[in-house]
Amino acid sequence: MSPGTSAVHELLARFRYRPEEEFDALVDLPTSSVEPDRPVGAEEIQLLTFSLREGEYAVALDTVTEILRARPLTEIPRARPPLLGVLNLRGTITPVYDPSLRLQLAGSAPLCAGPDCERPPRPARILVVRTALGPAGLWVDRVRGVQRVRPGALERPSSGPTGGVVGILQTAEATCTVVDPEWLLR
Amino acid sequence: MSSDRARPPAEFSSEAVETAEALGRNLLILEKCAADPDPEVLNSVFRQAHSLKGLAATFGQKRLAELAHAAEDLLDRFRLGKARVTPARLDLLLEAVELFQRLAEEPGSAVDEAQALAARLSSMDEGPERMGEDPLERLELAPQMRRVLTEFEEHRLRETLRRGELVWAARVEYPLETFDRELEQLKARLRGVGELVSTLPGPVGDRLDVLSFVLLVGSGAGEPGLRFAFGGVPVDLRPVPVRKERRAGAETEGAGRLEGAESGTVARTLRVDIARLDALMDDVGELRLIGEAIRGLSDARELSPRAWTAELLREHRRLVRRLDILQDRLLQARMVPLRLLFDRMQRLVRRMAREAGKEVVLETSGAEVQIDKRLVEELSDPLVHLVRNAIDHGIEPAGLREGRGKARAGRILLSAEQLGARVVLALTDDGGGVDWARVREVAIQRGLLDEERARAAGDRELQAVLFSPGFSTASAVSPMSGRGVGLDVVKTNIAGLSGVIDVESRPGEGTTFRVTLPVTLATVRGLLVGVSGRVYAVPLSSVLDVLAHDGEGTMENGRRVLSVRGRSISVVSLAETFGLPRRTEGGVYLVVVGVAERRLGLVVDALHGQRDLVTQALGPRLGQVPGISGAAEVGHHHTVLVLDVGALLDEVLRGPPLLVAEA
Repeated sequence: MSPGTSAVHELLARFRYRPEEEFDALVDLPTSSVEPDRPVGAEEIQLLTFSLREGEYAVALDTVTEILRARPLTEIPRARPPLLGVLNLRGTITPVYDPSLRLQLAGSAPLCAGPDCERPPRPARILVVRTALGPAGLWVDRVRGVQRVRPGALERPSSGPTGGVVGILQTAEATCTVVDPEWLLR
Repeated sequence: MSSDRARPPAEFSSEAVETAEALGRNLLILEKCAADPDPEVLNSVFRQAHSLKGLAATFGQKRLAELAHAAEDLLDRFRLGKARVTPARLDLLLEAVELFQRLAEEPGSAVDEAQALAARLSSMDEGPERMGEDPLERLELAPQMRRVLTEFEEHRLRETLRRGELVWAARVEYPLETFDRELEQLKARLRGVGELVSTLPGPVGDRLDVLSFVLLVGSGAGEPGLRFAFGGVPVDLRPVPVRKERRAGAETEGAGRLEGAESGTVARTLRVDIARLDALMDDVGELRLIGEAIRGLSDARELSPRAWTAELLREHRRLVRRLDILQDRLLQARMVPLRLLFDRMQRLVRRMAREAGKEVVLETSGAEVQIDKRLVEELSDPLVHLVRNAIDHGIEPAGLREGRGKARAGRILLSAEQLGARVVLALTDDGGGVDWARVREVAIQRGLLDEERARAAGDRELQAVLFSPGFSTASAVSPMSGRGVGLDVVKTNIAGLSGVIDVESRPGEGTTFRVTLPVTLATVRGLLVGVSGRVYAVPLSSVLDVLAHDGEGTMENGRRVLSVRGRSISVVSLAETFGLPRRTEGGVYLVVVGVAERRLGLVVDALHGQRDLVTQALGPRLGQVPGISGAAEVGHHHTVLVLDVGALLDEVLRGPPLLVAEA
């Protein structure tokens, strides 16, 4: 076949080509591509400890996405405790809650929103936690730090509020109550 | 997060969803011509399923690829005439389209469903169907020609013969450079006259610059019509002889069951014309230049302070102008026609009607109206809700309709209209209308209104009940023939888009839900008002008047009423409504707001001017906050709440809110 005619054939082949007429076998794909990852074997858990009134508390570190310096919030009219107000976290309206209500701590909630609120004390922080209903903030007096503990090191709570209390952690300095952040918001 | 690894890139979702949309659209076209499917449509549907499969395989979306493969197989059988286009099969395919969209958006979300559906699709194409004797055997085509026909071409020839039309063979020659265009043009000219089935190579001539073809054309038209289509080119045209025979029989089939997701999804990604992106790039380039100029000013020591200030102001003006242009262009790039949404509703209506065992036709108008892409996304769920409501509770069963002297098939009209910076979407059904007596009863039962108030309540007040959260639990609504399923959610969603929903019902004639929205979400112009030291934003689209508040007005039915410009309107102090301490500062103003024909005067302490606001929804955790539709940032870390004017009107004109912000 001369080069001329093969070029013509090529031309015709391209003209006739219909993608729908190709019947390739279904590409074999690794099944893992749609299966979720297995959970990582957890030896230790990391806790973020914080102070509230006189007590020490902690939440699992992996639920906390961000720690913000406390700032005046925007008040939601007719809101009921423990909702303090909202803040705009890079375009996401994030409600902020006072955990002390749920923890049955004495003393009134700090005035964090509205025109009469005072400048929050310097150590005050807002822990932004991930929840099923989007991010939420927890207003705490001070962030202590991160503790690595084995799950076995947590003791069962003996008294006080239960339900959202995951366990009690005894450290050299203090007794720290580990809580479920979702529970604090309810 | 762990699921992220399985999540395909956004461009995959976007393209897959778009392909699936197009596929769904073509399936609906196919449905209309199911008896005699247009081969062009069949081919494009098939091609879309094929590219979906390829796309899914490329991005490692196994389930989607399998499902697309099953759909493609069935469509191929349609194309080749091996399977007939039946309603049951179209149902399955449309169901597959919904699943494609869900899988494309959320891989791994409906794995079992996808597998089950793929299996059902495959079972649909088992075994050859009875087609009768092959009419192609009767066509006296030269054996060497017959051998090179593809399966599809054979099928098209069969179809031609089944219709009792003729197959024509034409010998033509076209120049080498232009033959493809010539053939495409011929194909186009033949439309309506006949069908170009095959382009076989003709005898090889002496000339190298010319290609000769033997074309097989199926046509019911006579020779003159065909010659005309060939456009005056001398052509050797003759019919291929056929021996006369009979026709084949029809088939019957059971209806397929439908299930699956209620709403598909609208892609969260957006395709933008490259030219638009280029223009945006130019703007950014321009901004960089301004940035450089300002930097240069910082060490322009030779300038006098006066000249320096003038320069700075000049650059500032340039900056602001360019930002305005940039914003405009971005807003333009975000606009998409409502057609996407309307098409989805078409499929949904078809399926829901079938599920409900009713006959429903959806008509649409204004599909070309453009709105912000995010609005399209966020409108989808509320609209699905309203459509479902109309079908389940609005449209009566066919028998009852006939008894009432209406057409058997219910009619839903979905229309869109742009009015200035707003779009009005209306969903009208010709069903039974809202049963207000029943609404009253349920409102009392559920403690939303006391008996006395319920009896006195007018349509407006009952309307508000319809949209309140307490009303819409399934137990309260399922036995009633009216409406109410999740209308509070619809209302919340729409308020989150700075929109308002209204209902109008004519007993026995039908119901209209009207949703008024801003065309774009990106910015809403708001009037900032001061109340007890707080600042709130009122969407300017609902502000009718602002005046100094003088006089206390008179009390009427427990409401303060004031005469404003000759019209008597209810007046309420925003501080009181929101339970804020009185801290009057400066003057007192009355901001008159209105939605539809309702008016309300809001007493505020201060006016802080107008602003373009980028509004955000309050989010699922806070849900419906009475009187508030969202929030917007007006300065560094300063967030103001945007008033939900529709909700305030409801509240004040009806009574206290049914649910105060749940903390």
